[in-house]
Amino acid sequence: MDAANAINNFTIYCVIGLGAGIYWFVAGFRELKQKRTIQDIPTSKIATGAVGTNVEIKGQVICDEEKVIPAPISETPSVFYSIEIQKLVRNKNSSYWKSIDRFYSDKGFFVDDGSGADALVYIEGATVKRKGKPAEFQLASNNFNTMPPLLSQALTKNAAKLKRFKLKSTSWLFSDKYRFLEWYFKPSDSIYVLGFAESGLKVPKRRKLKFKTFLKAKKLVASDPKLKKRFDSNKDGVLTPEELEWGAKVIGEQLDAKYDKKQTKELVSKTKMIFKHKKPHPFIVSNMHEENLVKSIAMTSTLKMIGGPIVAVACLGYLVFTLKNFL
Amino acid sequence: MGTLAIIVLALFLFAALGIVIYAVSIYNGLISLKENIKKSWGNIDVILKQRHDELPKLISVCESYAAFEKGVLDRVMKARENYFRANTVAQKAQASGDISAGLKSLFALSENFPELKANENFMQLQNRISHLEESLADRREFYNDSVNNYNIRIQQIPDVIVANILGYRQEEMFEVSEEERKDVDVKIKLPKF
Repeated sequence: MDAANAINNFTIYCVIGLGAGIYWFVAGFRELKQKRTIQDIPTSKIATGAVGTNVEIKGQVICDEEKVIPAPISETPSVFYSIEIQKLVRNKNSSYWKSIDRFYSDKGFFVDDGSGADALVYIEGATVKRKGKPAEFQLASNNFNTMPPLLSQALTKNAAKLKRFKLKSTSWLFSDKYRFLEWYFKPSDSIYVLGFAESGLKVPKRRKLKFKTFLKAKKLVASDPKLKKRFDSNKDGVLTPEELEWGAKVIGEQLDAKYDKKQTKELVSKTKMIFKHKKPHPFIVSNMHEENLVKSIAMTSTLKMIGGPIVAVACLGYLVFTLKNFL
Repeated sequence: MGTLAIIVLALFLFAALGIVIYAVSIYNGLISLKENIKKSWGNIDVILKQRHDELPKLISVCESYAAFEKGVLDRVMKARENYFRANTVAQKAQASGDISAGLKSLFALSENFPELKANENFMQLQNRISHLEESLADRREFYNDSVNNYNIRIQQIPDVIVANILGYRQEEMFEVSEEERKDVDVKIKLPKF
Protein backbone atom coordinates (compact mmCIF):
# COMPACT_ATOMS: atom_id res chain seq x y z
CA MET A 1 0.00 0.00 0.00
CA ASP A 2 2.87 2.37 0.96
CA ALA A 3 4.74 1.51 -2.24
CA ALA A 4 1.60 2.19 -4.29
CA ASN A 5 1.17 5.55 -2.52
CA ALA A 6 4.80 6.44 -3.15
CA ILE A 7 4.39 5.67 -6.86
CA ASN A 8 1.21 7.78 -6.99
CA ASN A 9 2.94 10.71 -5.29
CA PHE A 10 5.94 10.46 -7.61
CA THR A 11 3.61 10.37 -10.61
CA ILE A 12 1.95 13.58 -9.41
CA TYR A 13 5.37 15.20 -8.97
CA CYS A 14 6.26 14.10 -12.49
CA VAL A 15 3.12 15.69 -13.92
CA ILE A 16 3.99 18.90 -12.04
CA GLY A 17 7.60 18.55 -13.23
CA LEU A 18 6.49 18.20 -16.84
CA GLY A 19 4.44 21.40 -16.58
CA ALA A 20 7.22 23.22 -14.74
CA GLY A 21 9.80 22.12 -17.32
CA ILE A 22 7.72 23.50 -20.19
CA TYR A 23 7.07 26.70 -18.20
CA TRP A 24 10.83 27.18 -17.51
CA PHE A 25 11.59 26.57 -21.19
CA VAL A 26 9.20 29.36 -22.22
CA ALA A 27 10.29 31.62 -19.31
CA GLY A 28 13.93 31.16 -20.37
CA PHE A 29 13.16 32.64 -23.80
CA ARG A 30 11.22 35.45 -22.20
CA GLU A 31 14.26 36.31 -20.08
CA LEU A 32 16.49 36.07 -23.14
CA LYS A 33 14.29 38.69 -24.80
CA GLN A 34 14.57 40.84 -21.67
CA LYS A 35 18.36 40.52 -21.79
CA ARG A 36 18.47 41.58 -25.43
CA THR A 37 16.21 44.56 -24.72
CA ILE A 38 18.59 45.74 -21.98
CA GLN A 39 21.57 45.34 -24.32
CA ASP A 40 19.87 46.97 -27.33
CA ILE A 41 18.56 50.17 -25.73
CA PRO A 42 21.31 52.75 -25.10
CA THR A 43 21.32 54.78 -21.90
CA SER A 44 19.58 58.17 -22.11
CA LYS A 45 20.22 61.28 -20.08
CA ILE A 46 17.16 62.27 -18.09
CA ALA A 47 17.38 65.97 -18.97
CA THR A 48 17.62 65.57 -22.73
CA GLY A 49 16.38 62.06 -23.50
CA ALA A 50 13.32 61.57 -25.68
CA VAL A 51 10.19 60.34 -23.87
CA GLY A 52 7.10 58.44 -25.02
CA THR A 53 9.09 55.28 -25.66
CA ASN A 54 11.22 52.67 -23.87
CA VAL A 55 14.00 54.51 -22.08
CA GLU A 56 16.99 53.27 -20.10
CA ILE A 57 18.50 55.45 -17.38
CA LYS A 58 21.22 54.99 -14.79
CA GLY A 59 21.55 57.20 -11.76
CA GLN A 60 21.24 57.47 -8.02
CA VAL A 61 18.21 57.32 -5.78
CA ILE A 62 17.63 60.78 -4.32
CA CYS A 63 15.55 62.05 -1.45
CA ASP A 64 15.29 65.06 0.85
CA GLU A 65 16.95 64.35 4.19
CA GLU A 66 13.67 64.71 6.10
CA LYS A 67 12.00 62.11 3.89
CA VAL A 68 14.41 59.28 4.77
CA ILE A 69 12.51 56.53 6.60
CA PRO A 70 13.71 53.47 8.52
CA ALA A 71 13.00 50.13 6.83
CA PRO A 72 10.61 48.15 9.08
CA ILE A 73 12.72 45.01 9.59
CA SER A 74 16.38 46.04 9.22
CA GLU A 75 15.70 49.60 10.45
CA THR A 76 18.11 50.86 7.75
CA PRO A 77 17.53 54.53 6.76
CA SER A 78 15.99 54.19 3.32
CA VAL A 79 14.27 56.16 0.59
CA PHE A 80 11.95 53.39 -0.46
CA TYR A 81 11.20 49.90 0.81
CA SER A 82 9.11 46.88 -0.13
CA ILE A 83 7.65 44.26 2.19
CA GLU A 84 6.57 40.92 0.77
CA ILE A 85 4.41 38.73 3.00
CA GLN A 86 4.66 34.97 2.58
CA LYS A 87 2.65 32.25 4.28
CA LEU A 88 3.91 28.75 5.05
CA VAL A 89 1.72 26.25 3.21
CA ARG A 90 1.93 22.67 4.48
CA ASN A 91 1.16 19.60 2.36
CA LYS A 92 1.25 15.94 3.36
CA ASN A 93 4.96 15.52 2.74
CA SER A 94 6.27 19.00 2.16
CA SER A 95 5.85 22.67 2.94
CA TYR A 96 6.66 25.83 1.02
CA TRP A 97 6.40 29.62 1.34
CA LYS A 98 3.63 31.17 -0.72
CA SER A 99 3.66 34.89 -1.48
CA ILE A 100 0.30 36.35 -0.41
CA ASP A 101 0.74 40.11 -0.27
CA ARG A 102 3.13 42.98 -0.91
CA PHE A 103 3.27 46.69 -0.14
CA TYR A 104 5.67 49.57 -0.70
CA SER A 105 6.59 52.53 1.49
CA ASP A 106 5.46 54.89 -1.25
CA LYS A 107 4.26 54.85 -4.84
CA GLY A 108 7.73 55.61 -6.16
CA PHE A 109 11.09 57.32 -5.80
CA PHE A 110 13.25 59.85 -7.65
CA VAL A 111 16.39 59.13 -9.66
CA ASP A 112 19.07 61.69 -10.52
CA ASP A 113 21.70 61.02 -13.19
CA GLY A 114 23.56 64.32 -12.88
CA SER A 115 22.16 65.71 -16.15
CA GLY A 116 20.22 68.48 -14.40
CA ALA A 117 16.83 66.76 -14.21
CA ASP A 118 15.40 63.82 -12.34
CA ALA A 119 13.05 60.94 -13.06
CA LEU A 120 10.16 59.64 -11.00
CA VAL A 121 9.81 55.85 -10.92
CA TYR A 122 6.46 54.33 -9.95
CA ILE A 123 7.48 50.83 -8.94
CA GLU A 124 4.10 49.04 -9.25
CA GLY A 125 4.32 46.31 -11.89
CA ALA A 126 8.11 46.49 -12.26
CA THR A 127 10.44 43.50 -12.41
CA VAL A 128 12.80 44.31 -9.54
CA LYS A 129 16.23 42.68 -9.79
CA ARG A 130 18.30 43.19 -6.66
CA LYS A 131 21.71 42.12 -5.54
CA GLY A 132 21.94 40.50 -2.14
CA LYS A 133 19.37 38.67 -0.05
CA PRO A 134 16.40 40.52 1.39
CA ALA A 135 16.13 41.01 5.17
CA GLU A 136 13.60 38.58 6.60
CA PHE A 137 11.52 38.06 9.71
CA GLN A 138 9.41 35.01 10.58
CA LEU A 139 6.53 34.88 12.99
CA ALA A 140 3.53 32.73 13.85
CA SER A 141 0.15 34.45 13.84
CA ASN A 142 -0.35 33.74 17.56
CA ASN A 143 2.78 35.85 18.27
CA PHE A 144 1.88 38.96 16.28
CA ASN A 145 2.13 41.04 19.46
CA THR A 146 5.90 40.35 19.55
CA MET A 147 6.40 41.81 16.08
CA PRO A 148 9.01 44.63 15.70
CA PRO A 149 7.15 47.91 16.28
CA LEU A 150 8.21 49.42 12.91
CA LEU A 151 6.91 46.39 11.02
CA SER A 152 3.69 46.42 12.98
CA GLN A 153 3.23 50.16 12.25
CA ALA A 154 3.91 49.63 8.53
CA LEU A 155 1.42 46.74 8.35
CA THR A 156 -1.24 48.78 10.16
CA LYS A 157 -0.65 51.78 7.90
CA ASN A 158 -0.95 49.65 4.75
CA ALA A 159 -3.78 47.40 6.01
CA ALA A 160 -6.14 48.69 3.32
CA LYS A 161 -3.73 47.64 0.56
CA LEU A 162 -3.33 44.09 1.89
CA LYS A 163 -5.79 41.73 0.27
CA ARG A 164 -4.99 38.39 1.92
CA PHE A 165 -3.04 39.25 5.06
CA LYS A 166 -4.77 40.42 8.24
CA LEU A 167 -2.78 41.64 11.22
CA LYS A 168 -4.89 39.78 13.71
CA SER A 169 -3.48 37.48 16.41
CA THR A 170 -4.89 33.97 16.42
CA SER A 171 -4.84 31.26 19.08
CA TRP A 172 -1.96 28.76 19.11
CA LEU A 173 -4.27 26.07 17.75
CA PHE A 174 -5.15 27.95 14.55
CA SER A 175 -1.86 29.75 14.07
CA ASP A 176 -0.16 30.13 10.67
CA LYS A 177 3.46 30.87 10.04
CA TYR A 178 4.35 34.03 8.13
CA ARG A 179 7.56 35.31 6.64
CA PHE A 180 8.19 39.03 5.90
CA LEU A 181 10.81 39.85 3.28
CA GLU A 182 12.16 43.37 3.04
CA TRP A 183 14.24 45.14 0.41
CA TYR A 184 15.01 48.83 0.23
CA PHE A 185 16.85 51.56 -1.64
CA LYS A 186 19.08 53.79 0.44
CA PRO A 187 19.80 57.43 -0.51
CA SER A 188 22.54 57.54 -3.21
CA ASP A 189 22.09 53.87 -4.16
CA SER A 190 22.99 53.24 -7.80
CA ILE A 191 19.91 52.40 -9.79
CA TYR A 192 19.11 51.09 -13.24
CA VAL A 193 15.69 51.66 -14.81
CA LEU A 194 14.36 50.50 -18.16
CA GLY A 195 10.75 51.13 -19.05
CA PHE A 196 8.22 53.31 -20.78
CA ALA A 197 8.90 56.94 -19.91
CA GLU A 198 6.31 59.67 -19.98
CA SER A 199 7.04 63.37 -19.91
CA GLY A 200 7.27 64.71 -16.38
CA LEU A 201 7.39 68.39 -17.27
CA LYS A 202 4.43 70.24 -15.91
CA VAL A 203 4.17 73.71 -17.35
CA PRO A 204 2.62 75.95 -14.72
CA LYS A 205 -0.91 77.02 -15.48
CA ARG A 206 -1.52 80.62 -16.46
CA ARG A 207 -2.41 82.43 -13.28
CA LYS A 208 -5.51 84.51 -12.87
CA LEU A 209 -4.78 88.21 -12.63
CA LYS A 210 -4.87 89.34 -9.01
CA PHE A 211 -7.46 92.04 -8.28
CA LYS A 212 -4.86 94.11 -6.45
CA THR A 213 -2.57 94.07 -9.49
CA PHE A 214 -5.51 94.89 -11.74
CA LEU A 215 -6.30 98.02 -9.68
CA LYS A 216 -2.64 99.04 -9.64
CA ALA A 217 -2.43 98.61 -13.43
CA LYS A 218 -5.69 100.54 -13.91
CA LYS A 219 -4.25 103.49 -11.96
CA LEU A 220 -1.05 103.29 -13.98
CA VAL A 221 -2.87 103.30 -17.34
CA ALA A 222 -5.10 106.19 -16.26
CA SER A 223 -2.17 108.35 -15.12
CA ASP A 224 0.47 107.59 -17.78
CA PRO A 225 -0.04 109.60 -21.02
CA LYS A 226 1.93 107.05 -23.09
CA LEU A 227 -0.22 104.18 -21.87
CA LYS A 228 -3.34 106.29 -22.33
CA LYS A 229 -2.41 106.84 -25.97
CA ARG A 230 -1.62 103.13 -26.42
CA PHE A 231 -4.98 101.88 -25.21
CA ASP A 232 -7.09 104.67 -26.73
CA SER A 233 -8.32 102.50 -29.58
CA ASN A 234 -10.74 105.02 -31.09
CA LYS A 235 -8.15 107.85 -30.80
CA ASP A 236 -10.61 110.31 -29.25
CA GLY A 237 -8.13 111.33 -26.53
CA VAL A 238 -10.29 109.85 -23.75
CA LEU A 239 -10.14 106.36 -22.30
CA THR A 240 -13.57 104.70 -22.13
CA PRO A 241 -14.19 102.25 -19.20
CA GLU A 242 -13.76 99.31 -21.68
CA GLU A 243 -10.47 100.71 -22.95
CA LEU A 244 -9.27 101.28 -19.41
CA GLU A 245 -10.19 97.74 -18.38
CA TRP A 246 -8.44 96.29 -21.43
CA GLY A 247 -5.32 98.35 -20.66
CA ALA A 248 -5.38 97.34 -16.99
CA LYS A 249 -5.57 93.65 -17.98
CA VAL A 250 -2.64 93.86 -20.39
CA ILE A 251 -0.43 95.88 -18.05
CA GLY A 252 -1.52 93.85 -15.00
CA GLU A 253 -0.47 90.59 -16.70
CA GLN A 254 2.87 92.17 -17.59
CA LEU A 255 3.36 93.27 -13.98
CA ASP A 256 2.49 89.80 -12.71
CA ALA A 257 4.80 88.15 -15.21
CA LYS A 258 7.66 90.42 -14.15
CA TYR A 259 7.39 89.45 -10.49
CA ASP A 260 6.56 85.82 -11.16
CA LYS A 261 9.48 85.10 -13.45
CA LYS A 262 11.62 83.75 -10.65
CA GLN A 263 8.76 81.80 -9.07
CA THR A 264 7.74 80.36 -12.43
CA LYS A 265 11.25 79.05 -12.94
CA GLU A 266 10.98 77.23 -9.62
CA LEU A 267 7.51 76.00 -10.45
CA VAL A 268 8.64 74.22 -13.61
CA SER A 269 9.29 70.75 -12.30
CA LYS A 270 12.78 69.28 -12.39
CA THR A 271 11.18 65.91 -13.04
CA LYS A 272 11.63 65.29 -16.75
CA MET A 273 10.60 61.63 -16.96
CA ILE A 274 8.00 59.47 -15.26
CA PHE A 275 8.41 55.70 -15.41
CA LYS A 276 5.23 53.64 -15.06
CA HIS A 277 4.32 50.07 -15.89
CA LYS A 278 2.66 50.07 -19.29
CA LYS A 279 1.85 46.92 -21.19
CA PRO A 280 3.47 45.53 -23.37
CA HIS A 281 6.60 47.56 -22.54
CA PRO A 282 9.27 46.03 -20.31
CA PHE A 283 9.77 47.61 -16.88
CA ILE A 284 12.95 46.64 -15.04
CA VAL A 285 14.33 48.29 -11.90
CA SER A 286 17.62 47.13 -10.43
CA ASN A 287 20.35 48.23 -8.07
CA MET A 288 22.86 46.15 -10.01
CA HIS A 289 25.25 47.46 -12.67
CA GLU A 290 23.97 46.88 -16.19
CA GLU A 291 26.74 44.38 -17.03
CA ASN A 292 26.02 42.33 -13.90
CA LEU A 293 22.31 42.52 -14.53
CA VAL A 294 22.77 41.23 -18.09
CA LYS A 295 25.05 38.43 -16.84
CA SER A 296 22.55 37.40 -14.17
CA ILE A 297 19.64 37.33 -16.64
CA ALA A 298 21.74 35.46 -19.21
CA MET A 299 22.60 32.82 -16.62
CA THR A 300 19.05 32.25 -15.42
CA SER A 301 17.64 32.23 -18.97
CA THR A 302 20.21 29.65 -20.12
CA LEU A 303 19.51 27.51 -17.07
CA LYS A 304 15.78 27.65 -17.73
CA MET A 305 16.09 27.06 -21.48
CA ILE A 306 18.26 23.97 -20.97
CA GLY A 307 17.07 22.80 -17.56
CA GLY A 308 13.38 23.13 -18.43
CA PRO A 309 13.42 20.62 -21.30
CA ILE A 310 15.65 18.21 -19.31
CA VAL A 311 13.19 18.20 -16.40
CA ALA A 312 10.20 17.95 -18.76
CA VAL A 313 11.67 15.08 -20.79
CA ALA A 314 12.78 13.18 -17.67
CA CYS A 315 9.30 13.51 -16.17
CA LEU A 316 7.68 12.55 -19.47
CA GLY A 317 9.91 9.47 -19.71
CA TYR A 318 8.91 8.36 -16.23
CA LEU A 319 5.21 8.97 -16.93
CA VAL A 320 5.31 6.98 -20.20
CA PHE A 321 7.17 4.18 -18.47
CA THR A 322 4.65 4.08 -15.58
CA LEU A 323 1.69 4.26 -17.95
CA LYS A 324 3.03 1.38 -20.02
CA ASN A 325 3.54 -0.77 -16.92
CA PHE A 326 0.07 0.13 -15.68
CA LEU A 327 -1.57 -0.84 -18.96
CA MET B 1 6.51 3.23 -29.65
CA GLY B 2 9.11 2.54 -26.95
CA THR B 3 9.79 4.80 -23.99
CA LEU B 4 13.25 5.67 -25.33
CA ALA B 5 11.78 6.64 -28.70
CA ILE B 6 9.28 8.96 -26.98
CA ILE B 7 12.09 10.56 -24.96
CA VAL B 8 14.22 11.08 -28.09
CA LEU B 9 11.22 12.50 -29.95
CA ALA B 10 10.42 14.88 -27.05
CA LEU B 11 14.06 16.04 -26.94
CA PHE B 12 14.00 16.57 -30.69
CA LEU B 13 10.77 18.56 -30.42
CA PHE B 14 12.19 20.78 -27.67
CA ALA B 15 15.37 21.34 -29.69
CA ALA B 16 13.42 22.18 -32.86
CA LEU B 17 11.09 24.48 -30.97
CA GLY B 18 14.06 26.10 -29.25
CA ILE B 19 15.81 26.76 -32.56
CA VAL B 20 12.65 28.23 -34.12
CA ILE B 21 11.95 30.51 -31.11
CA TYR B 22 15.63 31.56 -30.99
CA ALA B 23 15.62 32.40 -34.72
CA VAL B 24 12.43 34.41 -34.32
CA SER B 25 13.89 36.27 -31.34
CA ILE B 26 17.03 37.12 -33.36
CA TYR B 27 14.88 38.34 -36.26
CA ASN B 28 12.71 40.46 -33.97
CA GLY B 29 15.79 41.76 -32.16
CA LEU B 30 17.39 42.91 -35.42
CA ILE B 31 14.18 44.58 -36.54
CA SER B 32 13.89 46.47 -33.26
CA LEU B 33 17.57 47.50 -33.46
CA LYS B 34 17.01 48.88 -36.96
CA GLU B 35 13.87 50.69 -35.79
CA ASN B 36 15.78 52.09 -32.79
CA ILE B 37 18.18 53.77 -35.22
CA LYS B 38 15.31 55.32 -37.18
CA LYS B 39 13.66 56.48 -33.98
CA SER B 40 16.82 57.98 -32.54
CA TRP B 41 17.45 59.76 -35.83
CA GLY B 42 13.89 61.08 -35.67
CA ASN B 43 14.64 62.42 -32.19
CA ILE B 44 17.69 64.26 -33.54
CA ASP B 45 15.67 65.62 -36.46
CA VAL B 46 13.15 67.15 -34.04
CA ILE B 47 15.92 69.10 -32.30
CA LEU B 48 17.51 70.13 -35.59
CA LYS B 49 14.16 71.39 -36.84
CA GLN B 50 13.66 73.41 -33.66
CA ARG B 51 17.14 74.88 -34.03
CA HIS B 52 16.51 75.77 -37.67
CA ASP B 53 13.33 77.57 -36.70
CA GLU B 54 15.25 79.70 -34.22
CA LEU B 55 18.08 80.61 -36.59
CA PRO B 56 16.28 83.24 -38.75
CA LYS B 57 15.11 84.99 -35.55
CA LEU B 58 18.67 85.05 -34.21
CA ILE B 59 20.04 86.33 -37.50
CA SER B 60 17.45 89.10 -37.68
CA VAL B 61 18.30 90.27 -34.14
CA CYS B 62 22.01 90.31 -35.00
CA GLU B 63 21.40 92.06 -38.32
CA SER B 64 19.77 94.95 -36.51
CA TYR B 65 23.27 95.75 -35.23
CA ALA B 66 24.80 97.25 -38.36
CA ALA B 67 28.36 96.70 -37.24
CA PHE B 68 27.88 92.97 -36.76
CA GLU B 69 30.16 90.77 -38.88
CA LYS B 70 28.02 89.83 -41.87
CA GLY B 71 30.27 86.93 -42.89
CA VAL B 72 29.39 85.01 -39.73
CA LEU B 73 25.65 85.44 -40.31
CA ASP B 74 25.98 84.38 -43.95
CA ARG B 75 27.94 81.31 -42.87
CA VAL B 76 25.17 80.24 -40.49
CA MET B 77 22.45 80.81 -43.05
CA LYS B 78 24.40 78.96 -45.77
CA ALA B 79 24.90 75.98 -43.44
CA ARG B 80 21.16 76.06 -42.70
CA GLU B 81 20.34 75.91 -46.40
CA ASN B 82 22.82 73.08 -46.87
CA TYR B 83 21.04 71.07 -44.21
CA PHE B 84 17.78 71.24 -46.14
CA ARG B 85 19.56 69.99 -49.23
CA ALA B 86 21.28 67.10 -47.38
CA ASN B 87 19.94 63.58 -47.96
CA THR B 88 22.23 61.12 -46.19
CA VAL B 89 23.09 60.99 -42.50
CA ALA B 90 26.68 61.96 -43.29
CA GLN B 91 25.57 65.02 -45.29
CA LYS B 92 23.13 66.04 -42.58
CA ALA B 93 25.79 65.55 -39.90
CA GLN B 94 28.20 67.72 -41.92
CA ALA B 95 25.62 70.50 -42.38
CA SER B 96 24.55 70.31 -38.73
CA GLY B 97 28.19 70.54 -37.66
CA ASP B 98 28.68 73.61 -39.84
CA ILE B 99 25.66 75.28 -38.22
CA SER B 100 27.00 74.49 -34.73
CA ALA B 101 30.43 75.86 -35.65
CA GLY B 102 28.86 78.99 -37.16
CA LEU B 103 26.77 79.54 -34.05
CA LYS B 104 29.83 79.16 -31.83
CA SER B 105 31.56 81.94 -33.80
CA LEU B 106 28.43 84.07 -33.71
CA PHE B 107 28.07 83.82 -29.93
CA ALA B 108 31.79 84.43 -29.43
CA LEU B 109 31.61 87.50 -31.61
CA SER B 110 28.54 88.81 -29.76
CA GLU B 111 30.80 89.31 -26.71
CA ASN B 112 32.04 92.45 -28.47
CA PHE B 113 28.54 93.94 -28.64
CA PRO B 114 27.41 94.80 -25.10
CA GLU B 115 24.12 96.19 -26.39
CA LEU B 116 23.40 93.02 -28.33
CA LYS B 117 24.35 90.89 -25.29
CA ALA B 118 21.91 92.91 -23.20
CA ASN B 119 19.10 92.54 -25.75
CA GLU B 120 16.40 90.38 -24.16
CA ASN B 121 15.48 88.69 -27.45
CA PHE B 122 19.08 87.81 -28.13
CA MET B 123 19.56 86.45 -24.61
CA GLN B 124 16.44 84.28 -24.90
CA LEU B 125 17.49 82.98 -28.30
CA GLN B 126 21.02 82.30 -27.09
CA ASN B 127 19.70 80.31 -24.11
CA ARG B 128 17.26 78.41 -26.26
CA ILE B 129 19.87 77.54 -28.90
CA SER B 130 22.42 76.54 -26.23
CA HIS B 131 19.82 74.24 -24.69
CA LEU B 132 19.03 72.75 -28.11
CA GLU B 133 22.76 72.25 -28.79
CA GLU B 134 23.07 70.36 -25.49
CA SER B 135 20.09 68.15 -26.35
CA LEU B 136 21.54 67.59 -29.80
CA ALA B 137 24.86 66.43 -28.37
CA ASP B 138 23.12 63.97 -26.03
CA ARG B 139 20.83 62.64 -28.73
CA ARG B 140 23.74 62.29 -31.13
CA GLU B 141 25.46 60.15 -28.50
CA PHE B 142 22.29 58.08 -28.15
CA TYR B 143 22.01 57.68 -31.93
CA ASN B 144 25.64 56.57 -32.20
CA ASP B 145 25.09 54.04 -29.40
CA SER B 146 22.07 52.67 -31.28
CA VAL B 147 24.07 52.40 -34.49
CA ASN B 148 26.97 50.81 -32.63
CA ASN B 149 24.71 48.17 -31.05
CA TYR B 150 23.22 47.38 -34.45
CA ASN B 151 26.58 47.25 -36.26
CA ILE B 152 28.01 44.89 -33.64
CA ARG B 153 24.95 42.67 -33.60
CA ILE B 154 24.77 42.15 -37.38
CA GLN B 155 28.38 40.92 -37.37
CA GLN B 156 27.98 38.49 -34.47
CA ILE B 157 27.17 34.79 -34.77
CA PRO B 158 24.33 33.70 -35.03
CA ASP B 159 22.75 37.11 -35.79
CA VAL B 160 24.95 37.52 -38.88
CA ILE B 161 23.04 34.68 -40.60
CA VAL B 162 19.65 36.37 -40.15
CA ALA B 163 21.19 39.80 -40.96
CA ASN B 164 22.57 38.45 -44.25
CA ILE B 165 19.20 36.94 -45.16
CA LEU B 166 17.55 40.31 -44.45
CA GLY B 167 20.29 42.10 -46.39
CA TYR B 168 21.19 44.36 -43.46
CA ARG B 169 24.29 46.50 -43.93
CA GLN B 170 26.28 48.62 -41.48
CA GLU B 171 24.83 52.05 -40.69
CA GLU B 172 26.70 55.35 -40.58
CA MET B 173 27.44 57.12 -37.30
CA PHE B 174 26.57 60.78 -36.77
CA GLU B 175 30.10 62.06 -36.45
CA VAL B 176 31.20 65.52 -35.34
CA SER B 177 32.41 67.55 -38.32
CA GLU B 178 35.92 68.98 -38.56
CA GLU B 179 34.43 72.50 -38.43
CA GLU B 180 32.78 71.76 -35.11
CA ARG B 181 35.99 70.35 -33.62
CA LYS B 182 37.91 73.57 -34.36
CA ASP B 183 38.33 76.20 -31.65
CA VAL B 184 36.30 79.33 -32.14
CA ASP B 185 38.24 82.02 -34.00
CA VAL B 186 37.44 85.11 -31.95
CA LYS B 187 39.80 87.33 -33.95
CA ILE B 188 37.60 87.40 -37.05
CA LYS B 189 37.28 90.98 -38.31
CA LEU B 190 36.19 92.66 -35.13
CA PRO B 191 34.30 95.89 -35.84
CA LYS B 192 36.04 99.17 -35.12
CA PHE B 193 34.52 101.44 -32.47
